Amino acid sequence: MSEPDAKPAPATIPPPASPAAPTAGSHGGRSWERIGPLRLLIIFSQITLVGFGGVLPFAYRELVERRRLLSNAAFSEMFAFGQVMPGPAIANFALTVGYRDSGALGAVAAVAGIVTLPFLLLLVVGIFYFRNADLLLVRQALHGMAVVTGGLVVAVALKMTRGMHRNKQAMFLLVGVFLSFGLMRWPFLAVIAVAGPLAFWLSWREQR
Amino acid sequence: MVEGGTGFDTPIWLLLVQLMILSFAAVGGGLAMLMPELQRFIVIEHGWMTNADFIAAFTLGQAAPGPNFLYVALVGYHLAGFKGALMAAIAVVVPPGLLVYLVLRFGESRVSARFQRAMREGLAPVAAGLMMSFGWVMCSQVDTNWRAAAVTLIVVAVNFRTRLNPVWLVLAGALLGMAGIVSD
Repeated sequence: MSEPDAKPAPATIPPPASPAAPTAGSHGGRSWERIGPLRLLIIFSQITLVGFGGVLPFAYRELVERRRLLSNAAFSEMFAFGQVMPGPAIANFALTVGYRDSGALGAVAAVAGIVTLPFLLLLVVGIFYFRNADLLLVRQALHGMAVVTGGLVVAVALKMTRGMHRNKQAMFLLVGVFLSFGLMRWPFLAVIAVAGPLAFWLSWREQR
Repeated sequence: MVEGGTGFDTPIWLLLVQLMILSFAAVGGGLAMLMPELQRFIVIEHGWMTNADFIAAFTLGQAAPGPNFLYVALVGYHLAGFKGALMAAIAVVVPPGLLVYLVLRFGESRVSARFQRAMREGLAPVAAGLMMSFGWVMCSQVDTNWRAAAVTLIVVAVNFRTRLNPVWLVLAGALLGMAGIVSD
């Protein structure tokens, strides 16, 4: 298997702890001890099962704080990469950690770890619910959960505005997306086809 | 199961194509925020599920442990049983995953830092706008009376101000629901 990031990269993702910029003491392009596919599968399965309402905080606690498998910088860099790429960020993150650690097999193991058990569990819960949805108590319990989930989503949306630049362009994009997609219910692909490139272009001009 | 169409024109295949397109278009990391779009596609455009069933599938996906994009598996299950659930989950994970893999394998060093920063910072307000849309759509449909709206507002405040694990809030929601407080 060829080393994923052996070439000296001029402009990779944040250089400090990036395995893309091999430093003294790195393990064959990695800046951490090799975890291996089997342990990746187990670790990510554990992370995902305790990760109620978002897997990320648990991933951080397990990988960085408790097991010390990744440095803080490596974690942030790989998570940011997972967010920039299309698709679900947590799956992309797991894939990146797995790939950097053990190549293609590691990538598959980590993603399988994140997805498999919650998938089976959700199916069991879902089948139970839909079999019993004619019971008032079950429907009411779910309605209560949905009301709370709505509140959690709004809270996450508010938190997302904390991390971004608050200039005129950003507010314009945020309000524009909310009005068109949220209130007017215009098709997502039409909204994103306009807002995506516009947002990228505005931000690209500001970067050096 | 939902009947209709033949070959690749069946509901599950139409759903899979839609999921693959949406998963590539999911910016800023979340597929959950595409919920209004899937709802439009499944409930309004095609009428494959009732709105109550769709909201239920979505809520269960959020409440269960694991990545919250897995609610698409319940939608797939509704359309085509276990096979549908499996295919829906694969449709949102594998195609974008292959792209990420290819970038890691061949092109990571060619994705410049400036490009990544522009993507991350530029798309942040777009992602926030999508999330707010999603919150609005969700709340406007489940908060059918003032008590439910009050619970939602309390949850916003608690989650925004404290580090309490959301699972307790969801559990409290289920209990309040069973007590008949949020329903009409």
